[in-house]
This record gives sequence, structure tokens and C-alpha cells, in this order.
Amino acid sequence: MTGPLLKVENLTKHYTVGAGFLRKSVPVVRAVEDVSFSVEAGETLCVVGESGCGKSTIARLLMRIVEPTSGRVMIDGTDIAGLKKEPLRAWRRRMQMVFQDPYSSLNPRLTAEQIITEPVENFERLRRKQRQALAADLLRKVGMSPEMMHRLPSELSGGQRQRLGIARALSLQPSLIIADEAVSALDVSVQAQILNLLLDLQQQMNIAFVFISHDLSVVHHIGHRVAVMYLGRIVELAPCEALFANPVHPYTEALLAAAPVPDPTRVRLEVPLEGEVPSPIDPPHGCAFHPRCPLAIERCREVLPALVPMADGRVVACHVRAPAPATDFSGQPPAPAMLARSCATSTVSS
Amino acid sequence: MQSRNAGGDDVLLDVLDLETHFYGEDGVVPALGGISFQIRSGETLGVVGESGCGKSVTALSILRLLPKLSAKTVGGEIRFRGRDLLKLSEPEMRLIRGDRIAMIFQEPMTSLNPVHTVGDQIAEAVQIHTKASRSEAMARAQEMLRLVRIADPERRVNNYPYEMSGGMRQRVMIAMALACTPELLIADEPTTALDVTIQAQILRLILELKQRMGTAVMLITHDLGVVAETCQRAVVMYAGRIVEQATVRDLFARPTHPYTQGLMRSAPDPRRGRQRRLPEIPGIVPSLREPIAGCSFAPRCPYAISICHEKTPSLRDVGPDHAAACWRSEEVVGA
Repeated sequence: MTGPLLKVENLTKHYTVGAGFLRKSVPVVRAVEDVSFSVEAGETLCVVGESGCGKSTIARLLMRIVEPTSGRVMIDGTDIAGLKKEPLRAWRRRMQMVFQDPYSSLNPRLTAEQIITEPVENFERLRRKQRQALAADLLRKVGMSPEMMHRLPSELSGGQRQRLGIARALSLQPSLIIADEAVSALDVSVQAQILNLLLDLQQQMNIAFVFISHDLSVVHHIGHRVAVMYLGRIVELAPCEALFANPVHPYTEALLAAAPVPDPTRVRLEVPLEGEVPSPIDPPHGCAFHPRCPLAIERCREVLPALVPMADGRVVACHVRAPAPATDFSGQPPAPAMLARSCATSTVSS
Repeated sequence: MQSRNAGGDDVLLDVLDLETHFYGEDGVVPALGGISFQIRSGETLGVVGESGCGKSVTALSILRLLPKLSAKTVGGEIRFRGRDLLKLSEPEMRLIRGDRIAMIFQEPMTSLNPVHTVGDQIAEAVQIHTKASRSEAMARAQEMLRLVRIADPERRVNNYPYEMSGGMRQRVMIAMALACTPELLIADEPTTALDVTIQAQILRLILELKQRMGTAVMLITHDLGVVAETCQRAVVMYAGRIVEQATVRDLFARPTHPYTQGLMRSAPDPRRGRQRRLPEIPGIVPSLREPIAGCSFAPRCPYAISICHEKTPSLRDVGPDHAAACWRSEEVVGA
């Protein structure tokens, strides 16, 4: 083992909004701020958080659909941010994406066969026989009959379309798949089928996933480690079981408490989190969560909490629950190398 | 034939054999195949099921808001306080809609008018149904905004919908729906578009206001967790029919229709294991375009026997205030 498959260091993305020549200062949306994590081969890292927390921007940054403002995205040690056209194309073979909406992410005029073999044809010319064999193989992998290859997306159900999206991502035999809310648009019985498929594929092909979702029960089910984001920053990153058994950051705690549980005998005691997520254009000073946090102290309003490694392999950014060690009281985040290492301590359990 | 429990006690809405058809290029689609249920005064009834099962069509049929050219209620009765809504004239129906039965939708942005302030829109609803003057109606709008806990209602009343967040817009929708203190609030996936912490706030708000005003709520959702936390009774729909109805406690303790069981088991549940295969419901929802012989769930059902493919089961009592439409419910329950 030479190190993690994917390593993200201090990734930051700012968007400028409403730039006009009459405006002196252009407002900046801080979509992603100083995010670091790593993903091992065959591992599932889930990214959770509410709308606007930056999770989809991370997916786009990883795929280099958008360029980062600063920071690095490394696959097997190579920084893809610096790659030019041809080498970048080669790296794209290693990473593929599955999108949320199985309706708008498939070209309605292409047949299933064309859709799922198109990525390969970007790289090499296929003969008709080869293409059909590849399509049949991919369809079988995602649990569809090869006879479906002549169908158009409009002739398929939502679940079948999402299977096509997955088959397309598999076609280049990637080592990493980025799934952005890949099961969110599906009904629960179809969602179960797709989640089972993803778990099977991971076991068979040792694929790593960056699984972006707002649904905590799905994340709990499929994740090895979970990064919780709030207003562009990771506030807690922990092994999945530890996070759900014992959330440390108050935001993680509130998020878990807010999720409805299908058990009518359970008495809900928690008061839901007050207020709403502030604007990422002008995030609160100090810890961005402090205006809604029931535990906030003076220091939270002033100093940005650093991600502090805890005993069980998690990192938490909270002055109250995870105070920085007294010797390092500068309020500076730990060095990225150290952070990435502490994030990677817990690896795939199975 | 149908399970009609609790006949005497204060039935607010009594839906009987409701049938709604859609008319498309490729023929007639029986979107509702004869459904019957009741809502009692002040109770919260959950309506659960997956896309296309007829949840929203039920709501639109009750309010008679179906698209005129492509859909029609062709049979049944909708008794609201004893009067059949299907027999009312359009002007009579308008007096009920918004005043005695109100509705909120999933997407608050598309259900609010973008060119009027939220105060104007709430006041308009008040003025249509009461003799209130303009200034009284605006005062009521402000009061309602305070009731749904929008901070600074004096200022917010002059906001346009685009100036508000998704959660706030849904609060405005609730304020508008409850401004005339309706007896029944139909909420169609009111929190599906919202983040989970905002969803918790909105659900709690609906329950509090319901209790304060004595409004009954029909909550349409695909989320069993939401049903468990907010409803007293629930009906489960599949392919345009009700397959099970029960008190929520009983439904979760003893799901008696194979579809209800499948739905509950296929959802990932933090209380059960991680990383395991989820029990799937095999196959897909049938198209309603082709007539289905027998039980519409039979092709996907692990319990199906020959009668299931031949005769459609109707709802039968399987316990107090608990009915299921399954030929084999005795074997299914407890399985």
C-alpha cells in the first residue's frame, strides 16, 4: 500500500456573484473552505450536510468540472489540478460520476447501448460486435437484461435509468466513483435495489466511493467513514459507526436528532435546531455554526475552531466538545499532512 | 364489504369508492381504483406510498383541482361533514376550498405568486373568505406570520417570496393555508424539498398549530419516518388502491400487507445492521394503462398464490381499526 487512492488537501472554492463593472467589491460565495480528506481503495467516504454546505461543489472539484480556488486533489499521489488536457483525460478514466437525476443525466436520443459505451468510445474505437459485447456485460453487471440495450431512456423506469447511469460510470473500470445524491430521487423500494447494487459492485471490483447525500439513514447504511459539512467546511469526520453512535460536533448531533425515525413508539425529546443556515456570502465569524449552536461560548464567536483529532480516529472542529490541546492554542488548523493522516487512520473494515 | 370502522365518532371527511381516471394519448389510466377512507375531526392521517400510487391524485380529487382536460373523478363520494363535494357547484366548491379545506404543496416557490408580497397573498386569502377589510386582512396576515414563527413579521409581511428561504416560504404557505382556520389541511409532501433540520421545524409547527386550531391534517408523504413521528392513523397506497390502513402504532408493530412489509424492510434503518443487503421488493410498479387482473401487487409479492392473480382483494378487518387488502393477511402478519 503506497497511500490513499484519493487525497484532498486544503481544497477551497470561492465563487464570485453579481460581478458588475459598477460594483467596487464583488461578493464572494465561500462554497468550499479548506477541506481535507482522503479515500482508500475500496472505501466509501460519505459527505453529508444540508443544501448549500458545499457537498456538490466538492464533487465537481474532484471531477475537475470546476477549478479549485486553491488546494490540491491527488489521485495516487498525482495532483490532478495541474494536469493539462491529455493527461487529465487519462486520469478521468480512473474517476467517474453518478448523478442524482436519472432523467436529465441521460441523453434521451441515445439507446442504452450507446449511453453506456460512450465513455469507452471516447478513448478507443469499438467495432459493433465489441460494443455490443461490452454493453451486454455492463448491463448484466448492473442487474439488467442485455436485451434492454436497444431501449431509449424514455422506455425505462427511474430505477433502470439509474442503473444505466451506474453502468456508464463502470464502463471505464474506474477505481473511484463519485455519487452525488445518487439514490435521492428514487422511491425507497428502488433505492434499496440500487444501494444493494453499489455494495455488490464495491465488493466485486474494489471500487471506492465518494458518496454525497443528505439522507443519514442511507449514509449510515453504506458508508465506512462520514464527513459532515456545514457552510463549506468539514465540522466532523469519523468512522461511520462511531459517528452515529456518538456524534461529537453539536451540528452532527442536531442533524442526527432531526432525522425522522420509523418508530411511532419513540418519544421525540430533542428540540429541533432553531434558525436556518446562514449565507455563505457572509458566514458568521469564528465557528460558522455558533449562531444556532446551543453550546456556543465566547470563543466560538471569535476563533475558527480547528479540526482536532480524537482518540477514536475522528476529527472534530468544536471549541466546546473538542478543545484543541493546550500546547497548540493558536487557533491555527493542524498541518494538512497530519490531518490527512488522522483522517485515514480508519480504513475499510471488511 | 369495505372496512368501515368507527362510524359514529365525528367523521370529518368520508371518502367512498373514489375513482379517478386520467385520459392520455394512449388510453384511460385508472389512477384511483375505488378508494375509501375517513378522516376524523382533529386527527392526523398519513397517506404513504411511492411515486405514482395515487397519493396526490387523491388530494386533488378531494379539492376538485384535477386538470380539467386530462382527468376526471368518475365514481364514488367525498362526504365532507356529510355533504358530497362531488355534487357541489363550482361556486359552492370555491367557498369550501381555502376556507374549510386548505392545501399546502411540496414546492413553496411555485405555489406562491412571485410578483406579490407574502402579506398581500395571505390577506387575499383572508378577504376572499371573510368580510374583513383590507387593513384587517393585513393585520391577520401579520398575526399569521407571527404564529408560524417568522421572525420580524412586521417587516417580513412586505417581502416577496424570492426574498425568503425555502423553509420560510413553506411557513408562509402554512400561514396562508391556516389563515381561515380550516377544518382540514391537506399537506402534500410539505417537507420533501426541505433540509432535515428545517423539516423537523416545519413538522413540529404543523402539529402545534393543528393542536391549537383543532384542524385535521391529511399528510401525504413517501417517508415512513415522517408518518411514524406525526400521524395517528395511516393508509398505505399501491397502484391506485389502499392496501392497508391502521393506527400508526399498529401499522408499524404489525404490518399486515406484504407491500407495507416490503416498504418498511427496504428502507435503510440505523437500528438494524450496516453494509448488509437490504431486502428488495423485486420488480417494478405496474403500469396502470393495462388492466391488472387480481391484486396489483401479486407479481412482486412473495406470498402470491393463484387467487391473488385472479381476484382483487378488498380491505378486510384484521384487527381493531386495522384493515388490509390481502388474500393471505393471516399468514402475512407476524411473518
